[in-house]
Amino acid sequence: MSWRRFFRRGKWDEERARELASYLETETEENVARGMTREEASRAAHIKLGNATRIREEIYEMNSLGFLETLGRDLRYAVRMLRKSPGFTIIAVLTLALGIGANTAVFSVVDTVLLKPLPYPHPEQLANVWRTHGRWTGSLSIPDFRDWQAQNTDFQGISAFATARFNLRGASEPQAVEGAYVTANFFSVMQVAPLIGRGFTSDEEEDGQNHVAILGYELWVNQFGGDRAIVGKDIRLSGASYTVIGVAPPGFHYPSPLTSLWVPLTPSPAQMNRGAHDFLAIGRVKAGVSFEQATTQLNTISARLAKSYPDTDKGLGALLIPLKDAAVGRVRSSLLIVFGIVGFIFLIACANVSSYMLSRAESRRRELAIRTALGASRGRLVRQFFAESLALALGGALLAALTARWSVAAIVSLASHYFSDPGRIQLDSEVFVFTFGLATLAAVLLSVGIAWNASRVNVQDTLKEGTQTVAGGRRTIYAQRTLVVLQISAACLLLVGASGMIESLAKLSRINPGFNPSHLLVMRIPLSQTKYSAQHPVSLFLEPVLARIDSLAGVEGAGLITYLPMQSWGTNSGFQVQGKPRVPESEAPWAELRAVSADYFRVMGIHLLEGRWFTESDNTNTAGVIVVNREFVHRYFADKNVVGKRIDFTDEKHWMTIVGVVEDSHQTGLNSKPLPEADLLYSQSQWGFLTGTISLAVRTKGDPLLLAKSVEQVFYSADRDQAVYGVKTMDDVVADTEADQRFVLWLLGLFAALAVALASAGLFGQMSYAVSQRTHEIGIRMALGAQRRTILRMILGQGALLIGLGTAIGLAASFGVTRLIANLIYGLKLADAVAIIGAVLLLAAVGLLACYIPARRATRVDPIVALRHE
Amino acid sequence: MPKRGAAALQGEVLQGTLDLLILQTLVMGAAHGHTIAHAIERRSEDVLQVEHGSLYPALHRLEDRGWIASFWGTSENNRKARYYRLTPAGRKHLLAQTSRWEELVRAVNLVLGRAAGPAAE
Repeated sequence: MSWRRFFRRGKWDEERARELASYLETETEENVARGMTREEASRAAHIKLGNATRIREEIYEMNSLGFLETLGRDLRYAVRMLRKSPGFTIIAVLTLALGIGANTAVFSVVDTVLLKPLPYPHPEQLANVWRTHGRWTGSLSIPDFRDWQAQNTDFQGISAFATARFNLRGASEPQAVEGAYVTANFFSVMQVAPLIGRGFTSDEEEDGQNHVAILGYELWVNQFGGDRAIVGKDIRLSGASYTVIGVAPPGFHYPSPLTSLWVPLTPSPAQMNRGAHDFLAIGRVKAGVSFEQATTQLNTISARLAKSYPDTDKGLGALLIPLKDAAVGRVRSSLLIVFGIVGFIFLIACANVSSYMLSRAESRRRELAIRTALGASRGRLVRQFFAESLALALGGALLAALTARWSVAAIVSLASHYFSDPGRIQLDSEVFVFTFGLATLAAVLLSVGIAWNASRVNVQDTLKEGTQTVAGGRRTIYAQRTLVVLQISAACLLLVGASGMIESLAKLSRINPGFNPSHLLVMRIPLSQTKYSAQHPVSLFLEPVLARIDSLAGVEGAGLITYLPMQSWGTNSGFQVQGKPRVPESEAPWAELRAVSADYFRVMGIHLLEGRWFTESDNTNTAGVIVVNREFVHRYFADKNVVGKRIDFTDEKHWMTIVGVVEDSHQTGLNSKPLPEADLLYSQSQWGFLTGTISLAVRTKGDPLLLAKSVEQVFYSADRDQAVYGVKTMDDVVADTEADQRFVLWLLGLFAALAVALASAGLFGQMSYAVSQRTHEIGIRMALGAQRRTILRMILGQGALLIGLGTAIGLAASFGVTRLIANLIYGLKLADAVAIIGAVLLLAAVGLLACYIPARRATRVDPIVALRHE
Repeated sequence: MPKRGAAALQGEVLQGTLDLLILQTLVMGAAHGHTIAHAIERRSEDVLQVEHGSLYPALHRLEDRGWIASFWGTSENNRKARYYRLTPAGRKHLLAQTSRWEELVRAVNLVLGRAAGPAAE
């Protein structure tokens, strides 16, 4: 079969016809020459040739594509048949569109987030380098980093970095810009060349030469108008002057999706301490080197360091986490679960349509019997069903593709905090391929079910007039019932999941966070290191500002802390207890360290359990004092009295006395345990200032956000260069920690509702069909004396049986599934009895409602009519 | 006229064998469908009665595979007819198939000869 001939089949056929005609003439002539009459000759020639038309058909078929052509014909026939029953067609197409559309939307998100490669060259070589201590991973110190850099051979390069906020002096108000301190080799490790200008040179890491900066592309366009002459100009960052030496290419954001500024990393003397684990690192391995290899090498180096510096490095190791995993790790499991959930929806939709088609196939038994009698093979009938299913599925897919844009937008808006770059989620060709692939799958699923059932047509019985073919009909009903039960169990599963999530979220909201989150305005304030390096920023700048904020109308108090609870954690330090033997740094007990203002606890509403608060008498000149939390006492002092004990923190370098114990505030989130914490006064802390950024909490009388502008104004008028960011309420901060669960709950709830609706529709359809099939039987019953009530109970009873069966299976499945995925989503424990009962009752109620209408219709059957009904 | 007593293998010619016969017929030179059909009959002393109808699909198939090529020409009685000729590839195929056929026949004969051994003289 050649393509040329395929397209010119018509012409070929004509030629063939001529050829055959010429054969006939020649043969006829010969026969005449042999002595036959003209008619005899012609007849003999025709007999000799055989059936000319069949020959032409045979050749024509050899030129065709066979399967595809029959499929095309079948599709056209299918569409004609579907047009004859518009109701069925519309419902089926809509149902399929729902099932396919949900999957399309989720897939396009999954595709972008999980499957698309990272925007760096050779991203498979990049990995975050973490320091490990036992099971705990964390940041590393500059001396360790430099040793790793010098002694390794498996990396093309490792770069250390630390994120920071800079106050950029703009045209009007200062802007807090997210940026990073990076070692000079950063851009070469990432293999990203600046769009204009150049990267850092190694001497720019030195003091005196490090006031250079590279701008992010979007920042350059938005703040500086995309002016190419920016290279060489100076900008004011956090009160100091920096020269712009380059601009990064568009779309480059590392380490965070908002990083817009890079500045050379010059470690301070305190940061040159091997025990000061303040930095993160990213490394690019050499081509062909595996991450395991590189990790082993780094571990070897770490072991050497542990020997040389047992005090700080004992027990420390290294861990590489590929960048891809780091980027999507958190999202991956949630997305995959969501994908699984929509898969259910798809299956339920297919089951629904399958059920309808079974009913339809029943009513077409006669047509099928005739076709079989005319010579259609079983395979031929199956192909016909496949064409019909395909027509429906393609219709559904088309509808799904058209509405994809809105469904994707809906999901993205639900989970906007997940996606650093929602614009990246596009509908490209992969999504459409997926959609139509799914449609084909749907068609296959549908036709398999129908074909198995309906192709076994007993030709004789069916063609006889007036026979009730109960046998085949019963098989259909059983098949439909199975489908309905499966749908109900899927819906039950989703519903139980949703109610479990609701319950766990409700539980979460009842947990006491340790402070009073309502009416609290919070914001982050990046302090310029250079401006306040000589003297304490607290006394110079913050104390007056705090006093002014306190005096604002509507403000009940203002406090400061390095990191608010639930916003950030992992800033901890080891410590020694006076009176106990000195322990090496790497084995010392640790606690979350926070520097606070004296009023902080009162403003946050944290309760004092023992001892006293900080007072005015505690200041720069008096002895160091700290306040610890209950978990600290519990974990390290076995709940004994600690007031009066003296502690020395690695990062603080002088002995401090514990003066008070406060209630635990959850640092990481409501569903994890509080960590041991020690709070010291800003005025007495060196370390607190080193973190560079402070959080402010303002207790307000009314809506916190109303006062945001006035508070910002106080800062601005105190220092023109001072910007603030992250202005929100504490309630928002707490809600953010639950964002994962909320997202899953939303989706789960939405899809559970969808599933219940679909399953009910399926139940309704099946019961209606069953009733219509049993009209005859019902008529007989009624004629024999059955009351309407009895009929109602009978039908409802059957429906209840299906619902019960489906619910039981669904519950059993949910036990199993929850165990499987419980560790993937926080808080997805098995719902307790209340939630399960609630879900089951809801499902039962909806299900019975769906059964009710067909049941009522059954009771309305007029026995006389029914008895005549076939 | 078919030979008396010879079993006519009407319609039982295997497809591959039919191809072989057609190709062999064309060795002598180009011919059109009608000629080929009669040539096969004649040369086989009328044993092989090919249904002439099955000839045309076979010709089509052979042309598809590139073993024969066709062109329009004028027949003996001045009629336009479609002629077929052997291509070099067809010639090669013919040689290969012929030797295979001979092998096959020899093998069958060996088996039959053995089986009919004691009975034959």
